[in-house]
Amino acid sequence: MKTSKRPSSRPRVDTRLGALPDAAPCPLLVADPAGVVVERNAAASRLLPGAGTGARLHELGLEWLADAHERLAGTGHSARLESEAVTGQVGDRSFEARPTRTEDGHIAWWLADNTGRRAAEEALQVERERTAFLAEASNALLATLNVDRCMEVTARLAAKYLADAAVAIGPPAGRGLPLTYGSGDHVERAHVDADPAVVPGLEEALQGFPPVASQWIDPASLPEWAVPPGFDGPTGSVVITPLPGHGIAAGALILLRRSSHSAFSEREEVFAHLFAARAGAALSAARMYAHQASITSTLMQELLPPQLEQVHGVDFAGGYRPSGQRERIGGDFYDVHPGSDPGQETLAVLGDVCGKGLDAAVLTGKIRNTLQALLPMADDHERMLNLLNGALLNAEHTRFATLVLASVVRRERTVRLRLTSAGHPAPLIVRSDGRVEEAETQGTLVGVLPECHADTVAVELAPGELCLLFTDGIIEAKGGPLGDAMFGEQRLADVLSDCVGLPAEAVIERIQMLAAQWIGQGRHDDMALVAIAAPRHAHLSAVDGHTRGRYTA
Amino acid sequence: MTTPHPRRFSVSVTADRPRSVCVRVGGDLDHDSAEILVGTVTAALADHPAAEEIRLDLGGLDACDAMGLSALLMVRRCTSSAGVRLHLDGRSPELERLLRKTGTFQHLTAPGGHAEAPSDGAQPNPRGETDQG
Repeated sequence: MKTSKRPSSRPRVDTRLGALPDAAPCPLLVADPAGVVVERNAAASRLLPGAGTGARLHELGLEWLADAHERLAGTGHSARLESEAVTGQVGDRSFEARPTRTEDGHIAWWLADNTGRRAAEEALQVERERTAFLAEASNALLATLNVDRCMEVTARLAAKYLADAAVAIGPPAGRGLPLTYGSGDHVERAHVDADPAVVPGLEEALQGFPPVASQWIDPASLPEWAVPPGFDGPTGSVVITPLPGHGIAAGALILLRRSSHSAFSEREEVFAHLFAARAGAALSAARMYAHQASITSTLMQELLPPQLEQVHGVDFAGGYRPSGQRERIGGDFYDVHPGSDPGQETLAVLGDVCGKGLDAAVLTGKIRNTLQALLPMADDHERMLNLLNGALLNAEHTRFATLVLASVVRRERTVRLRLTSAGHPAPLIVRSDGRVEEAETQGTLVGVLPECHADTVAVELAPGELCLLFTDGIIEAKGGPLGDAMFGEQRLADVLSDCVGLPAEAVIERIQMLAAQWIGQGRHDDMALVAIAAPRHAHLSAVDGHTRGRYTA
Repeated sequence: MTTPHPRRFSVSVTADRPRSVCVRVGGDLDHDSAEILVGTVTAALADHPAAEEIRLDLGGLDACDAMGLSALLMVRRCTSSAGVRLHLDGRSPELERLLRKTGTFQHLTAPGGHAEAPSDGAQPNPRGETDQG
């Protein structure tokens, strides 16, 4: 009785005749160990008219009480019974029966009506289930940033927990309405050419107006498309709820119940709105993500480095590793602009824009476009760089780029290069004997200073020799055995020296592999590489007995 | 240079000599700290309208990346347009290498302000129009 709050305190039971607490409001039944009623008070007579003296508990239709009595009667005399309360139905009400052992070995059962408490407990259970459902809904909705998937989850969960069927409606797209039907576990998507105005309240809901309550909507007014296919039976009640997004409605939800079901209660409607709020937030996040993703992918298409191949008898290969897997647009770039014919120079550009992210990406795009427009000026690198510099100068910031220009043309078996560095690490040249030379070119970065100065150097590559353009992400990559050493120019030169005779593509792959091993799990900047190589063989058709097998890393 | 942890960036302004403001920089000058340096120098220029030179003390600078260089270029642009000479003191060999590699050494180490001004900036110098943008 520790937790009981019933108003009447329970008197000590005295089984002598005439001493029973008839005045007590709670029914009291006393039964002997065999389950035969020996006494009852007035309240018990009113509740259980058939439970007179001599009646057997088992015959009263109170199996739950009779069973408990039988079990307790079998326990030892000294056993405490106070904690053995049982609960069961008497008629249409719920009672809790608490046992007490009397002095002569009978068991007295005090019956307390707990119908109200049971109802409260059931309501609590329902609320708990709803809370759990909302948590589940949030998890399921937030697990995806795909709009269609979000709509499906919304329709499926709504059909499962809130109604017999549900229709999630996205904001009108063009002339049509995107619909997702949920009925049972079945989900189906459709796009109908329909006017939301024909469903009362739907247009308002799609605009994010306050929700229209269920009783205001005549189920008969629902057009055919607003009822999920396969939803049988007449529609009894309908709720239309907006799916509120960030600022604007992310859509609306139509919940349908069959006529046999009760209409939505006020609490159910509030609950439906709570669910809709979560679904709306998730949908709206998914839409915004889709929007951002499409911008990013459009930019990426424009900004990702191109695939390089042989141009006019010169081998080109490129490699790019952005700093983070998540932001694939970085500040490094390269391009190869083929000459109009094999006698004309091909221009290769590799550069590094300071900074990261969208700002860097925009500047990268600008530089690449400007250089392409300046291709006719490529015979004078310094002039080209000055024109580029002028196009980039900006009073707002000092964001700059460093780059290397390489004009490449093949003459017989030799590849001639004109190399110009604009504030960029000088290209490395691998000779056929394994020597690695640094191209002697130097210049100012572009985009900040009023004027650019740059020295152009001419270099010739014999067959099998290679020129590597790279960004400082390679040489500044930190890693190694202790994780804090830079990859460095010397290590890069050593790698190149070991690569003599390998095809350009293989050299790029090898450097990338070694740099990746060097970095391990550590962070690194963007890394871009372009290799320009003079093919070993003058003619592709030549079979001279020295043909190398294709290198595989 | 080999500590894997990012070093705390610090910047402090002192004006202990007349017409000369010293901005002391410590830690890494990078993406995160570039704006702080530019903001500090801009504020110092505004606070000391009579200053004829800014001495950027880079003795405590640990590392400087591309964004850091961009900040130095912006500082230079601000001092030039204010007609104030800029000195980069305490340059580390690494920083000098970066400046030379990017072709910005001349631009950043010429005192600016007034081309004929002595580099120590000790003698008074009439303020005039900006020399370059």
